[in-house]
Amino acid sequence: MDTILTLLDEEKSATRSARSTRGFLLAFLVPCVVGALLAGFSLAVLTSNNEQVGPVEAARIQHEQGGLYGSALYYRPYPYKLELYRLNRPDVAVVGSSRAMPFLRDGFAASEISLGGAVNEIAEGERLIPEMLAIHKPKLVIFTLDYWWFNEVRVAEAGEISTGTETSFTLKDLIAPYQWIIHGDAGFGALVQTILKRPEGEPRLGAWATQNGSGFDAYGAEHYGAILTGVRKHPDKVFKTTLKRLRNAKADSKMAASGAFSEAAWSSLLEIAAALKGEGVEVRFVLPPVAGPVLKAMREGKGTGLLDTLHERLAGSGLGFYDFTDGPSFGSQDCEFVDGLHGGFVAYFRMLRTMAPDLESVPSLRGLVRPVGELDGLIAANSGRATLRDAAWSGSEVDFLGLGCQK
Amino acid sequence: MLFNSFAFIFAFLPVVLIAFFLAGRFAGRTAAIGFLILASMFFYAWWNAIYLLLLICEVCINFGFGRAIIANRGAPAGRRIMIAGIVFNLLVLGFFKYALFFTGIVNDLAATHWTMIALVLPLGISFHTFQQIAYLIQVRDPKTPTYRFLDYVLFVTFFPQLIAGPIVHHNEVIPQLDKPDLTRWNTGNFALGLSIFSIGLFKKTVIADSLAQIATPAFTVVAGTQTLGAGDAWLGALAYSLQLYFDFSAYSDMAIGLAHMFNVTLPGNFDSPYKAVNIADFWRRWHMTLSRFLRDFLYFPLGGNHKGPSRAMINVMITMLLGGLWHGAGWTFIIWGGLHGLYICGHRLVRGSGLYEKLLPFAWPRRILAQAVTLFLVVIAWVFFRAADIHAAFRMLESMFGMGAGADVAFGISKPLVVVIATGAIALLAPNVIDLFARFQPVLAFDRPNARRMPPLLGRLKWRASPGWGLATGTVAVAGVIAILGWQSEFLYFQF
Repeated sequence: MDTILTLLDEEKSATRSARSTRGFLLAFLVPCVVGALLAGFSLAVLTSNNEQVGPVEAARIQHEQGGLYGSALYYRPYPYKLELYRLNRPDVAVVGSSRAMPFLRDGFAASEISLGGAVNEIAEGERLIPEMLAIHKPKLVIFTLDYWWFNEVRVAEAGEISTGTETSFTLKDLIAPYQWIIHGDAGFGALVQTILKRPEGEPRLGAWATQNGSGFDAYGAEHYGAILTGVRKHPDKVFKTTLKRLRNAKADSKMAASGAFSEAAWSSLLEIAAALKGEGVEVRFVLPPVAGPVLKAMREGKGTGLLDTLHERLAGSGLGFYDFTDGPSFGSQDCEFVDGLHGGFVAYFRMLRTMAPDLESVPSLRGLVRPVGELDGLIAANSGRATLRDAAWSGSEVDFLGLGCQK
Repeated sequence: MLFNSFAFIFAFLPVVLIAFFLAGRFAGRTAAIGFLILASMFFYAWWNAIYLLLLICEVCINFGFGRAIIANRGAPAGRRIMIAGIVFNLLVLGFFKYALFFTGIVNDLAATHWTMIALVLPLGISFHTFQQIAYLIQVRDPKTPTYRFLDYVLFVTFFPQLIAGPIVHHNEVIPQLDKPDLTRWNTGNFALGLSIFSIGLFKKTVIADSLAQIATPAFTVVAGTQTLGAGDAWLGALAYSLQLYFDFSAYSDMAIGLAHMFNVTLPGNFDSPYKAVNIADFWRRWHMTLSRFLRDFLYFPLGGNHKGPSRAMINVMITMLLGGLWHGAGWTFIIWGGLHGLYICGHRLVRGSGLYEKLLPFAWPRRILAQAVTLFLVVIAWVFFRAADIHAAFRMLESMFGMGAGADVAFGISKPLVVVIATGAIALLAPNVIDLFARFQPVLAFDRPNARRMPPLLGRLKWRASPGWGLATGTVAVAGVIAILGWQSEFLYFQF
């Protein structure tokens, strides 16, 4: 009898143990399922927004189908712009930082590519130019210069140039869609909608292109999308952020417009110019504009020593250059800016319009820029705006800077 | 293949588990074992298929040596065959691991210019070589049965322990392969194994790899010509000490967990080593299966402590220097081993002198002081273990003791400091896998002379197959898997 009872007890205990183990395994699955759902949603968001498309592949797709490339995860302009350049082999190459991006294709009669964003330090220019020339020799290089490259004591912000072309999602990437939602960079509903139904028409490559209409067009110009249409909050209203950065600028920071001039950077610039000249490529250096209140604050603050010295050096060097630092000097105004350090398309049309007669006077550069009359027409139709009235990718521009601009 | 990879977790492991138990059920034990051997070889070949041939050759030759020893048990030939077998294993290990190092030494000493190509170190060679040497020594014992070929092959190649241990003995694993329920699915063992594996995965991908982000930059600075501020240097050294512990013990946990899923129990390899109260205690808790090997097959044969105190010290030094060399062909590893040898000798001199008791009459402060001193000495030695070369190690030590010219960057109330403190608290205070799973014998039994009972609150934290624990371990597993996406690195001990 005792044996039977013991056996029954053991059986009960075994059943209980099996049930408990089953409960354990089911409970173990709960976080696994939750984790899988969260990760699955992220993956769906990233792939439906074409974030898996790497920079080189994006350039190839744009070359064939047009479209907009604005990756939220893989901002790698160096390989992307170089690939655009390789595919288009343009007559005009615009080189520089983000301040070279607003040279819109519409301003040129010949083929043009903006490599803006590929050169964020003069050293990157020294690397890019030989690579460009090895691929193809353009007729004209418009090279925009940032004054902070010539600050002797500045600590370079750019690390190693990101030349990677592959994309593979990491933990940080999987978290990103949730951060976009929290920070208001993308709406949850819009992300779900993109998963369910991908946008039609020209390809939108990357989350910023899909969600905000911002990114590079097929010729490398940057479109700012939703911050210009008021859908997303503008980060530099009334140039407040730029002015604050300027006020807090230390001698070694990007915003310091005065200080010791870097002879090494200047030598690098001369070498770049010599390399281009040696290959028979005309180069025009451009000092891009800063918004009026920003320039005023620079002058009233520690001065614009770096800009002044750079101007003097360029003037004395015999190199072709244009100083567009001051907007009104070429007819632009603050309403044509995107933020404190970046002019919009219309401001850059004005710059091109200023450069046009000089470029037309050089036989090898004739016909590269659109005729002056057409440029004037474009400017007149869009005066006071950052982008064009009927430009692709941009909706209806609003007074996004809060300056009281009539748009 | 890495345990902390998607390929392993979501493809290899489920497929092998299902196929193993199906094979056991429908085709019998031999087929299941044969399949597990093939799967283990695939696991090994994933890294470098060429070296699989080396592994197969070593296993077959050692099995042959074993059979020859059995055939000559009690005869002088048996001993000669054993020595030949050991020499063969050491030659293979020496060729791949030490040839370049010793060629350099010879060139330096004799001003010769011999060249030696740098060979890729076969993965896990130090581990399976020692495992097979132990077998050849033990097989002379008449009590050791004659094993089937497949059982022996699986004993060496069983994928959970193939690459970084634990260094198991034949009599610990092979008899388990004979159990009738080996190939029968056991949900309880699976749940236990899954939980231990999950904890190991978390320790590796969340904790150890986070610590690597702090330790690596610090040691990279001193690998150049620079020094660090004292705070940053200590932060780097402590981060590495913790990284190594969490990394290696994570691998052991994962190996133990995986083995449980296949109804096999492995020996423990870590027992909270940073809770050690003296250096001898540390070696009873750190890489326990290596310590056992060095003790049984090196220290004891040298005479152990049976030939007087002086000879015992010499034996300790030889054992620890060779133990250091086992970890890597470099002077830094030898110095690391030498330092530990000196520590153990020092401990033997102090032990019994009553020094601690005189300094601190109360037991618990004495224990804390002993633990702190032990930890301090261990961290100092790890500097040599991690540094790129001896100069870098000294630069790190200079920095740690305030003699460096560098300034602190990361020190202060910073994220790295918080990470080091939090993970340090886990290493020093939290129960380990052996404690947590004590009810279910997670590892083969071993002596724990300095183990303390868990405090009552932590004592309740004993794992059982309940829904609560399922939720907790499931969360830990998910965190571990997701963290793989953050950074996927090899286990540190793979390089040894």
